[in-house]
Amino acid sequence: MTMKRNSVEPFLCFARFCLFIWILISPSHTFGNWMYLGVSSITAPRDNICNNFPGLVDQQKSLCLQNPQALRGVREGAKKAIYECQAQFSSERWNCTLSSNYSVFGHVLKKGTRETAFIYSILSAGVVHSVTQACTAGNLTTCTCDVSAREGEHTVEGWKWGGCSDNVKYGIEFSRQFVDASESTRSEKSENIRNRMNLHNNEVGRKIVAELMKFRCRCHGVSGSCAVQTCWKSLSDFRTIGETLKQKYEAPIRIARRSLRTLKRAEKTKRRVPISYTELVYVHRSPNYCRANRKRGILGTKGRECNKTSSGSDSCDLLCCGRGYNTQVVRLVERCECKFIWCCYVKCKTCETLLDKHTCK
Amino acid sequence: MRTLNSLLIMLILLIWYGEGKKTKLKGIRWWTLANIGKPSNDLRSNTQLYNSPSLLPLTKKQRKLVTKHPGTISALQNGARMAIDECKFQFRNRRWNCPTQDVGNGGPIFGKILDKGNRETAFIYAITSAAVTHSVARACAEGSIYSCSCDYNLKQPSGKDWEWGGCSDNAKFGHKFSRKFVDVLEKGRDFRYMMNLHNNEAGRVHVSKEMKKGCKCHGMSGSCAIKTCWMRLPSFRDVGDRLKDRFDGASQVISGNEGSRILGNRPNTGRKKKRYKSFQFAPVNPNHKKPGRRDLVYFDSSPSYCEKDTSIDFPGTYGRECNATSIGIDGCDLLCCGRGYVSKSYMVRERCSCIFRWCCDVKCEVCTRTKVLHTCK
Repeated sequence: MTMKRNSVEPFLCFARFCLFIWILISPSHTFGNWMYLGVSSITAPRDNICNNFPGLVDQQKSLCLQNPQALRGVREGAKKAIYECQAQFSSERWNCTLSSNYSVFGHVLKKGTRETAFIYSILSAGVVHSVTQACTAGNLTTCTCDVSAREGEHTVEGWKWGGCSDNVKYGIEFSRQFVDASESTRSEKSENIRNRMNLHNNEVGRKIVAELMKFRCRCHGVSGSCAVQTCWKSLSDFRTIGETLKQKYEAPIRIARRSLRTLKRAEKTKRRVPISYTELVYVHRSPNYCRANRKRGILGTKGRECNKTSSGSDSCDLLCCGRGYNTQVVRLVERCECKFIWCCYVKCKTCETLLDKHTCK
Repeated sequence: MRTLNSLLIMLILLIWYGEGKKTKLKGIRWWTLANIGKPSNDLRSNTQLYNSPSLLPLTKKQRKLVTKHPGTISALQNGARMAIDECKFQFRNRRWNCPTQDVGNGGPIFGKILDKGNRETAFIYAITSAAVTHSVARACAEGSIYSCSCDYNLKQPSGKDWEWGGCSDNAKFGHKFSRKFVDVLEKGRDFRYMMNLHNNEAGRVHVSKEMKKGCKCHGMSGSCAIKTCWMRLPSFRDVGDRLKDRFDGASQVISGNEGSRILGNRPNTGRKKKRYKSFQFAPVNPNHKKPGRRDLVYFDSSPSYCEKDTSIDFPGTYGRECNATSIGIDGCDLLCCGRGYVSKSYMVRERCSCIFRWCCDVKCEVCTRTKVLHTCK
């Protein structure tokens, strides 16, 4: 008996160790998996898409089953957000690199850097934006225009509420349930600072969409005069939201790793100052993204095109990290001086221009 | 017999090696002029200087040239100092911060990096020859060189109410003199010499082809009814900025396919001229732009300058001051090569909130502020 026990124990121990390691590692593999909706190619939700789609947690699956049309909204939102992220960071050292696997952004999500904060906030903002738009367009059966602001706004100027306001409340609520689901299920195991950082940043994205709602009016008096107006609140375009979030990205708050109930700033002198939902938070410092590091999923800035005359982040000096740049002469052949000739064709000349193209060493 | 033979060979090798070293380092010795005394316009004090060989870290040809044009020695001193200052300024935020060493007369001021062929070497050569051009051209116009004067040939068609007539900086003379003085050291047919010649010329072109028009009005009450105009040199900071730009975009080259046309079919042109125009550089990557006359060229890639490098006498970036908030090359992240940095706060007593009181003194308070100094580990 003792012999047997002795032989089994190391095995058990090993198995436990393996389980422990698996628990440790597994969350990082499922990071942000719902974002994959943004790059996958689903066109119409099928019956089994909710269950078979990789990386959706249970709550997301049930949401999807309840409201299959909304998944398309989520997908559009994720797509929009990824596209916007790449547009906003096209001239930075980290240019919103996508990876080819299910986690979409790859290694950058493993650490809680500023970049991660931006990704989470813009993706949750994207979901709010798309779902809200889908509401207004009537694509979802569970929601419609926001009519709460409609009554009693008949002022002297002669306009009144009456339009179909974008139902941002529904969008936000949906985003809260759907996007935050992947964080809350994991936090059961351990009160992870990363989960709370992500939740905070998700909320920041949503708040920004609500904050940037605009007031729009349309005149329909006689001859289009503004004697009679209909006004409604609408979402601002996603570029504006992206720009605002980019500004938040420039000045984020670093939080302490051990924040007990509420998030606390890492800077000791400012511990008492509360962190509001208007600012992004991060835990880890970002690397400089200068040199390629395959292990950490950094591509480096070698070979990136830079702007010689600018002084911003796309300047050759900053983008190339002081390594200097190579110059190529590119011959650009374009159609130019096009003329319309009656009737009906357009005649163009071909112009050649020589351009200098600078790429980092 | 055999031992004697091998000894002889070794001796020859040693002499050859020593000589090779000498010729390599000889070229740069004139830069130590920067360390000699204060430059002054007084020519008589310099007559002593250029005649005494112990003081002059110059080659024979250079000494001849300096004696032929009295007064250039102080311009050269000035130029060497300008070049060193400018190099230090342009590279103050970079890992390689243009370190110089004071080794007395005859030593290489910039150290062993001059034996390499990387971008930094290219910059040093360009900025020094540019500085000679600049300061000699300026000294001509100032009248402190005997054999040259203002350039009165630089005339463009006069305008309605102004005319040419001012004393233009003599960039032509400066260019020529710098060619004779600086390039005299690059005698070989080696690729490195060709690189140095090219970079020297690039530095000079950045001075002499960037002249600007300056005018002065001297009508009644300073109005511009009458103007005199002349061409003046760009400020040396401008030259440094431009060269730094070229440094960033310098092209790595190999010897071109066309080869050098030194034995070309233009027998009547002078020997010197051929050397400047005929050597062909081709970029290492054929897709890149061919280096132009103003571009800097190099063939060795630079080290990262993070760690101590004895082959170029570079101490590494240990202990360098860095900027904690910047993401550029002066930021702690890049400058310290990821080793991290030490922050130290210190108190500074400064004069502050100064008020001017009638009449005439300024009263200040003394403030103490804490500043933070970040240095690389």
